[in-house]
Amino acid sequence: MVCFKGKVAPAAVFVSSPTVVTAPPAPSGPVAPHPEIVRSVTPEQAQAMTAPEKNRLSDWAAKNDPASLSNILGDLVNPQKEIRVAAIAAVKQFRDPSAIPVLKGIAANSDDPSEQQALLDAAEFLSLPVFDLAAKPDAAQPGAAADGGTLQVVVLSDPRQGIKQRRLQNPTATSPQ
Amino acid sequence: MKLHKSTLITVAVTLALAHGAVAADVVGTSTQFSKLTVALTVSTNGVQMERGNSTVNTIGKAKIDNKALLQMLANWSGNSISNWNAAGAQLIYDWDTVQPAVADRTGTNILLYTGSSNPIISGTQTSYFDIDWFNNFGPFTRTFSNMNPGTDTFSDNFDLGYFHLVHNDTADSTAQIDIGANGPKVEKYTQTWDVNHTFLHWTDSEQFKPAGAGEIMNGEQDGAVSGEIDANGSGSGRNTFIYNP
Repeated sequence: MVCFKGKVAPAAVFVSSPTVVTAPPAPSGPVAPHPEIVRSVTPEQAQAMTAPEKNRLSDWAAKNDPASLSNILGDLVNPQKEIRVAAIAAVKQFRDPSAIPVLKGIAANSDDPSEQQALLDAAEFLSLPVFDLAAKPDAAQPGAAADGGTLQVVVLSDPRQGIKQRRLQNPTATSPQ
Repeated sequence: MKLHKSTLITVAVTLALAHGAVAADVVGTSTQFSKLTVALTVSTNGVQMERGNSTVNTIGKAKIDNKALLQMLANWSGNSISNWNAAGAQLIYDWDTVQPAVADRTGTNILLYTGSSNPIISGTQTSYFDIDWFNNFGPFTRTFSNMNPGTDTFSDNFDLGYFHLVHNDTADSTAQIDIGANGPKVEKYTQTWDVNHTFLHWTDSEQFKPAGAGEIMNGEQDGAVSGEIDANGSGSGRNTFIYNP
């Protein structure tokens, strides 16, 4: 079970057995109006509030222990969006594929399309192999067809060769600096 | 359990060796830095396959994250990744020298500069990893308070960034890496000052989303790269590279 530091575990979303949620008892006396606290927070104050947690996320991302992963996953559901965004970046760096279902679960329950996409992108990023200096990025290998068929290595010319040669002779745009 | 003298000596020697192993050379210091986060996806064509009456090309993907990049830089520079990890090695952007670097856990002690102006040269190999956050500028929003103490906050939402990761080995063309890409970059900077208009504190974030094609990865042409490179930092005073009003 994935533990989150004192926050609602998103993993609960995936529990297939029914979960009984007990409603809090109704207040017996007259209900006082909820005090509304309106506080304007400057960008600097907001940054000062989130900076320590973002620093911690950065440190946890560089580690490799279950407690750090748990902390990062916990921040994926932090009330502050800036922290959630930092947690998504941290979980990508942590490299633990066990976070993939958690990311997908939170994405499925997110109302923010951009955050939903970021969560799914992070899940895909975690599923990728790490770039290997000694080999090409993971690709089809001989004898490893997705449908079980046998593959043999062959060599065909690049169908874009003509375009490449024309561009070499007559560039249509300058390269960015 | 009764400890034998030779056991104690073995433990002492092991600890001494372990202590020696964590030493990582410091090559400079940074007074202003941001922590870097690299999350890139690289794609190349896989080997061409023949199945039945068809010839099949597929795309292989892999990722380059902070740990992968640190491993590459350790390999290319002849440093031990174990020693770096023990020192809490991290990727930073050093605003003093305007280039990425590997620093220890404090961020201020530089273990390796990686910019194109400080290429890592080892025998037949030349490597570097560089970032230009300000390849080009777009419009920006800004709120400057005309008072002391006060703040200046600006966002450049339409800048253009550029990064370049290069590894060239004249003795081995299959080891060549040349990945460079432009992309949109968003910068958010805040500066504060006191009653005497003395700069107190700066915070900066750079969010860069490169995308490129025609990349070379392990000697393979026609690769592609996409993803994100971010920098987040803060410090006292002003960021002398970014903030020059």
